[in-house]
Amino acid sequence: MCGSHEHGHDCAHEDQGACCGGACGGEHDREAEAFTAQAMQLLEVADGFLHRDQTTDDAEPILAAAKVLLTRAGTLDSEAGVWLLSTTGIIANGKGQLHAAERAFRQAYDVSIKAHGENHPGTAIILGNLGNVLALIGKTDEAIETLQNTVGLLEAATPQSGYTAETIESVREEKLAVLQQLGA
Amino acid sequence: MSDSKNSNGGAPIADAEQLRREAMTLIERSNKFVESGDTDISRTLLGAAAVLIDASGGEDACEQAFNLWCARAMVAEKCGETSQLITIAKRAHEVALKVYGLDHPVIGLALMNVGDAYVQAGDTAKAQAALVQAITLFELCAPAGGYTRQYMNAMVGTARELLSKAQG
Repeated sequence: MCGSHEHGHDCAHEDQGACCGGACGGEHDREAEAFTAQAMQLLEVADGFLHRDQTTDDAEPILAAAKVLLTRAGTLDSEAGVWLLSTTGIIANGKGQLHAAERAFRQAYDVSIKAHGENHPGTAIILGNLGNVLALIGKTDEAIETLQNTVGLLEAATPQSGYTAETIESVREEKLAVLQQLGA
Repeated sequence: MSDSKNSNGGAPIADAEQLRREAMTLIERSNKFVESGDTDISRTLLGAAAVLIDASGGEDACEQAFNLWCARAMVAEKCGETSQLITIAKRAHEVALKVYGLDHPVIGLALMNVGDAYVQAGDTAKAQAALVQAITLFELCAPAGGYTRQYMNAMVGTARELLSKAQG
């Protein structure tokens, strides 16, 4: 879907023609904006459920719908997408659905690199969550490598976007402890 | 396990059955919010359910779509949106016909909802037409899908009450 350019003119974007070659007169852009807006509304509702309720049962299907919408809009590679995917991973991990959590964290990590960059503390924390899940699944070698990368990224990370120095250091220490448990 | 495509013909998004289960969860949750009077959150949840049903292959393909339209009818009724209630009830009937066929008890329920919507709108002739069809269907069609003969007989009674109301 062409969510990044206006139609009806000679567009040089590399995705030109991905949906309609500009024949829609901007309709797909408007559709993408509508999908994204609806997804953002759903994410707010899901966030409300997660903060208010003791259960994640209500939030899960809402997150699924928001993911469908962001995917359709072509805007999953965004801050909202990072939050959605990492929250999905955290919920799945909490329910013991480790392979689902692994998938979600891997996707969240990829999206976070695109949205925030590799050196952002949020990206490092998602990578650390992936490392923990890999350790729980028994993929020890990959878990160690992932957690060592996480520690390196956290040591290089600067506080930003609500991630304080204390938070970064606390996560780093937790990852070092997991690495020690894994014998690394 | 089947992957699904969205209505735009895009790449498969997720397992269709899983999407429908999640849609049903949202519909049930929405109904609880309607009961407690929070129709705004209900509409949001039903919007999300519609997205999931569409991504699962479209609303003509699954029984959850009928439940979605029934839930929308609950919201419209709660909000006193009579004209929308008729449109929604008719759409629910159309979806039910596609999902269940002509002679399933669900069609009787859908027709009864259409009749009820017309009763609320004061359109006696259309209310009567829908309710008579509902009664006939409940009386003639075989029990199916968990709907027993006893349940259908009770629905005939309810439909007759609505018919009396329509006739003043």
